[in-house]
Parts: sequence; structure tokens; C-alpha cells
Amino acid sequence: MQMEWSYVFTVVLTGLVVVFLGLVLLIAAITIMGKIFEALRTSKKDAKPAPAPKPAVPAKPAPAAASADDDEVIAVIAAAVAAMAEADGTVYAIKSVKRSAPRRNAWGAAARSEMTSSF
Amino acid sequence: MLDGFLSTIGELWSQSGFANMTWQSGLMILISFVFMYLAIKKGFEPLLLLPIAFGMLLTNLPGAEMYHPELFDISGGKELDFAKILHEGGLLDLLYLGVKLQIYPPLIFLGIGCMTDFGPLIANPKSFLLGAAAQAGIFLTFIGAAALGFTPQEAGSIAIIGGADGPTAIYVSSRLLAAGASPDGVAFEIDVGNIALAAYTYMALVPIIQPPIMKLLTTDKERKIVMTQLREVSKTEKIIFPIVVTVVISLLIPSAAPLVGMLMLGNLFKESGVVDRLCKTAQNELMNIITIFLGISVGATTTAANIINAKFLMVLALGVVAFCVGTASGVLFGKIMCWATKGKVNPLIGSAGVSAVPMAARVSQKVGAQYNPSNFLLMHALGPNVAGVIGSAVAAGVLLSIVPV
Repeated sequence: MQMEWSYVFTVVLTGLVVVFLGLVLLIAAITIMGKIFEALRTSKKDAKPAPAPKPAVPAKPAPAAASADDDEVIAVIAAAVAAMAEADGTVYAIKSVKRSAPRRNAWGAAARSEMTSSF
Repeated sequence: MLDGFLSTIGELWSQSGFANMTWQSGLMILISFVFMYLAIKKGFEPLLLLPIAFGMLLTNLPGAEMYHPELFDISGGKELDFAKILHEGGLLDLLYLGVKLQIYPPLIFLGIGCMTDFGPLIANPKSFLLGAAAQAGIFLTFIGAAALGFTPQEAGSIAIIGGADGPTAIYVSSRLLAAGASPDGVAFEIDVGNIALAAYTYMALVPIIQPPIMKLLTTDKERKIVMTQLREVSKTEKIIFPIVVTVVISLLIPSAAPLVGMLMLGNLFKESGVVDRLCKTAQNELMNIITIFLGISVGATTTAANIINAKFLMVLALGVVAFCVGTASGVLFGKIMCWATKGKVNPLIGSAGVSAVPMAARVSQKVGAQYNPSNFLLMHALGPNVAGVIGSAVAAGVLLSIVPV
């Protein structure tokens, strides 16, 4: 038995409109929720520096920490080069180590491509 | 003595399955072998396809009588006789009650909720639109089913295949087809088994069906779009999300509450972090038990009489149309969002709006990586993907509300 076309199109139209309406309501609810939490987060961040009593003190240790970091990085690079040198029998000298401009994290990219390649 | 021996052997032979085998049963047994091959050797949705295939084998073995469709026959206004089913039914009849009474699908949704991370959707709520757009396949297929002369209840059951969500398809079809005939007295010619078989077949074929449509509807430039990283989502937001979704959707479409409610309960188990034991049980033991029961009892309904007929071929044809239209409308809406955001959205993530978690999101990732190997669309595609689960549950609720039973 053939359904009446007016009924068919009513079902289709109602269905599409209600599904969109439901999900648009959710978008509104989730966006508002996101905004509230974002605001709470930023207000917490703003609130945190206030109780810090001596803002000038942390300035000095910073370069020391950075140089310690650099020493570690240089040691790791030197070890990697030494391992390579041992493998191919050549002697290398490291003349300088410079930080490159910030770019996409190569390890992160490698990990992501490893995780997603199977898909 | 020899006569007695021969007559006994003759009787045994006449009672055996070999003597009672019809070509239809033989064909169905062969089809079950093909499904088992696809599940075991090709890895097509083996968790469901294998029990379905074995259920199909058991139900089509002549004389084994493991499933009795006559117990569930409610044509001519008969009521379902539960006492008779409990007294006379076998194992598969009892397991089938979980399908008939719509118990399994919401329980599967509970497990899915425990396994789903709605983080990408919370971080980018606009993904909901893609999840909604992909549901167009459901409603547009309703038109096709009406044109082929199906009743509204049958058309709704076929259309929901486009949601690409097995439990939802079973839930809707078992509710819509429960009466055995439409309110006008027209007997249904399809049943839950037809719908479930078509839905799970197409879900297994998502990686084959979707990519050609995605490539056809997008340009090379669009496919290479790299999307910006999603914002971090706090634990509190993840805990509030399932509660908000349950309240909003259940108030708007109460008939979607069993599916959405259980999905979100599972998610609350996961995100709250205080009921680890319940979460583990729901996503492992409970989910596995229900999957076995669901698979084998759906397989049991695929008797030769149900499957080898022109109507089932129509269901298969309309099912693939529903799937393709759903994918296409998701991608097209993705293109609209790409245009509206001035190229910040890769339209390939739109196809993931047809639930089928996480397969559809993987397909988006795979197609995107073909054109730009350093592009990672997986997390972006998971947003519309999980939105598709909610969207198809909402569409299911809408169908149950507007199609008279």
C-alpha cells in the first residue's frame, strides 16, 4: 500500500528539523559550558600571581636553569654523535649547537604518525 | 533383523537434516560460511559478524529447530505469548527476547558510553552539526522506501540503517515492527533480522563504501586542509557533558531517552572516575555477553524464508543508498563549514558523522593522510563521529515518535 506523499515529506521534514534542533540546542549548551569554564580558568590564572610576594627573585635562576638544560641537551647530542662516529669509524668535532626556530615538535609528529599509520 | 535395521536406518535418514534439506536452507548455510570467512579471514567486524554467521548456520540447519519463529508470530492482532515462549522456547528463542523487548541495544550503548571520549566534541561543539547532517541519509531513504511501497513502519526501520549504528537499527526496527502489521492491518514483510543483517554488513563495509564518495565530493585543496589543534577540555566539563546531553535530548525527544540515557550513563561512569569497577564491567564483560547474545539471536532470525526474497534485496539496496546519502550529506555539510570558516574545516571529517565509531573517523584520517601525510584528522573526525552516535539516537527517537506503531 502506497504511503501518502504529504505524510512522507512531513516525516522527512520533521525528522531533519528536530534532529538539527536537538543538536543545535546541545551546541548552545556545550558552548555556554565551555565559555563558563574558560572564564573560570582565566580568572584562576589571573588570581594566582597576586599572592606571589617577590616577583623579582625568580629572574636570576632562570638563565641558570636554561644553561643547565642546554648542557644536558649538548651532552645528549654529543653522545648521539659519538655513537654514530663509533659506528662508521670517523671522528667528529661538535663546533656549535644552536637552537632552531620553534617548529612543530618532530617527536610528537613521529608519535602521531606511528599511532595513526595503522588506520 | 536386517529388515528392522534397515527400517530404523531409513527412519533416522528421513529425520536427518540431509533428507530435509531444501535449496533455500542450503543456500543460507553457504551464506553463513561466507560470513564466517569474512569475519575470520578478512576481519570484517568479527565480534558481531561471527556470532551472527553462526546463528544463521544454526537456524538454517533442518531439524535442529533451535529458533522457532512461530513463537514470535503476532500477525492478525495476536499478542506475544511470553508463557509459551518460556515453556516451549529453546535457547535461541529466549536469547531473542532481549532483541524483541529492546533490552540489548541500550545495554550495548552503556558499554559504548564507557569507551567513548567525548573530549573532541566538547572542544569543538560545532561538530554536532556534522553529526546531524549525516542523519539526512536516514530521512531521505524514508522517501525511497515509501516509493517502493513499504509501510511507514518498514520504511522507518529500513531508513535507520543510514544511521550506521547497529544497536540503534535493532532498537528502532524491533519497536516499529513489533506489532507484526501496520495499524491499517498490512502485514510486515521484513523483520528485525533483515535490518540488523543489512546494517552490520554495511558497517563492516564502511572503509570500502565511504572513500569514493568522499573523494568525489571534495577538491584536492580541501582534502589537504590541516585543522588547528583542539583546545584542552577539563575533567569537570567531561563530567557535566553526559548530564547536559541526557537532560536536553530526553526533554526534547523522550523516546530517544533509553539509548541516549544509557550511552551517557556509561560515559558518566567513565568520566566521574569513581566507579571504575562498574565502568570496566560495562565495557568488557557486560558488553561482551550482550554482543554474543545479540549476534547469535539476530543471526537466528535470518531463516531462509526471511532472507531469500525480493523484499530483503530491496532492504539491502535501500540500506546502501541510506549509507551513501548519509556520507555524502556529511561531506557536503563539511564543505559548507569549510566555506563558512574560510578554510579551517577539512570537509573529509564530515563523513565521520555517520556514527560507525571509530571506523568512520579512521576512514577520514586515512583519506586525509593520502593527500597530506602529515595531516592528522583522527581527533577532529572523532568529534562528528561521536556526535553521529548521539545524532542517530536522536533520529531514532524522532522516528519512534512520528511513525505510528
